[in-house]
Amino acid sequence: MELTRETVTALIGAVLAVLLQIIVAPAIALFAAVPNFIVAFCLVRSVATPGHAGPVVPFVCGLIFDLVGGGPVGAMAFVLVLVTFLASRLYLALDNDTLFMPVAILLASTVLAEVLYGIAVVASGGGVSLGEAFLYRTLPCMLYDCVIGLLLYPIAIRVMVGKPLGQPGTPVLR
Amino acid sequence: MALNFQNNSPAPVGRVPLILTLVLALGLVGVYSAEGPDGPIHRVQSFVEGAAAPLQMAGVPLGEAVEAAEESSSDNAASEGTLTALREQNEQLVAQLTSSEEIRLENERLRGLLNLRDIYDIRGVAGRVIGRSTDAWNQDITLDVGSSSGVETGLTVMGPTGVVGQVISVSAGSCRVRLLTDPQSGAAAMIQSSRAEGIVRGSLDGLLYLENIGADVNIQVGDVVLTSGLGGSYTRGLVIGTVARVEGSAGKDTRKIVVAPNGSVSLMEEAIVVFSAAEDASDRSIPAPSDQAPADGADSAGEGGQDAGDGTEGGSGSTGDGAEGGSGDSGPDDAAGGEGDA
Repeated sequence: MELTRETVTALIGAVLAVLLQIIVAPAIALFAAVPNFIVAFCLVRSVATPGHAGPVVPFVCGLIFDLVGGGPVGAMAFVLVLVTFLASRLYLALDNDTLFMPVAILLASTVLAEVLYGIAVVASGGGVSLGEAFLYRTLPCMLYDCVIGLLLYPIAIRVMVGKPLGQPGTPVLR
Repeated sequence: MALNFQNNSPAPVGRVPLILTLVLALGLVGVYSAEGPDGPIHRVQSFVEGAAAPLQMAGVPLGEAVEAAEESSSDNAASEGTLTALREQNEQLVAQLTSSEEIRLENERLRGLLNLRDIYDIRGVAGRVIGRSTDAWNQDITLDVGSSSGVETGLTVMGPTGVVGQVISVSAGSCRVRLLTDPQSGAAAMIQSSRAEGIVRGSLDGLLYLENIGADVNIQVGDVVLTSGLGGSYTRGLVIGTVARVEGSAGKDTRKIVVAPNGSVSLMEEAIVVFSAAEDASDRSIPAPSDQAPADGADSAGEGGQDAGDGTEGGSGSTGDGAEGGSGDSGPDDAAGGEGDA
């Protein structure tokens, strides 16, 4: 594996995300909504570095999330691999170097990831209906994750890419 | 904001890793769902959860800090209306708490009375304390039960934990009880363990003294003192208190034996007027003595010393004397008679 800037920052970010998920997330839970730093990191990374966002980091992070969290092992790994791939491909296809597109894709992919994970949990015998799962878990969690993703994205752009993306005449992150 | 569909260079992400990871993840989910709780993936999951536990514990202080911050923020954000409502609610709660505590204490006292009643098979009537002595020379209380309830002069009165005194006067709806700690009172008593008999008297210093005990009787601190029933002034076998201090040694007539009353009278609010008790009351287990110090003897009760004295000396003490005197008119008269008898 070539030690590029993207690779190193991805590894460091993954470790930080896992630690934040284990240590900080339970402490800052709002009611039933526990933030998911792993989801936010993986999706931000897939949008920030779409050309280098391979499936390994999402898979490993998702697997750790499953193993630590007690949910169905492999579910989050599957969801993250799938959604990050879709997000990166969508960004590569739709990127217009504006702020809107990455943010929109980030939010949409976050929603998709949480919804898919909710379906996976319910399907694997969560003991609740899909509607309840969406209302009481998926919805608040996706909102929380969106906020965290929006906070992480500018940082990821600075750290992972090194220079703000943009073109004349469009809003850019500086 | 226009969308710019571009033909970016193809992502270097290969399809093979993607498919592999997806298949692997799906396979894990399938195996996880299919296997039982003792399956290998479940075991790995349990192991990882255990390994991550120390890390999770590291977040506990953070969680507490966040919780404290939330509370603080919530408190700071409370409006004046909220604070006013909370103050009113607090006042209501305090009032309710006071009422509940009052009921609880009363319940506790009544339960004590009932326990004592059960222990001794007491037949009697319970009354509420409605008055106390108005001068410093007499220690008595007034109960809200009288002759209409069957109360007669000379009957023994018990508090929640033991004998407190004797009825000295009765009216239709109330009775007056001279406490044991009254200097004019005296009750025929005995040591439960040695069966040695004597007289328990009150005193101005508020202590109860056990007198007329044989010089050769060995008395230990903690010995239980009961009414002996001699002279008929007090129902036999009811607990008075415990020996709290022995001044002097056996063989000397000068020794003083201080008895700690088996309960506080100063705070007593209910009492039982005893009509009769079990024949073998003196042999029955008694409630544990309270932690009242001898100095609290002023709280204790008693009465009818004169007949007790008679009983002790000759066994002929008559309740009638005390009762008559007591029912007569006033305590002092009765007391005088009692002292004379003793």
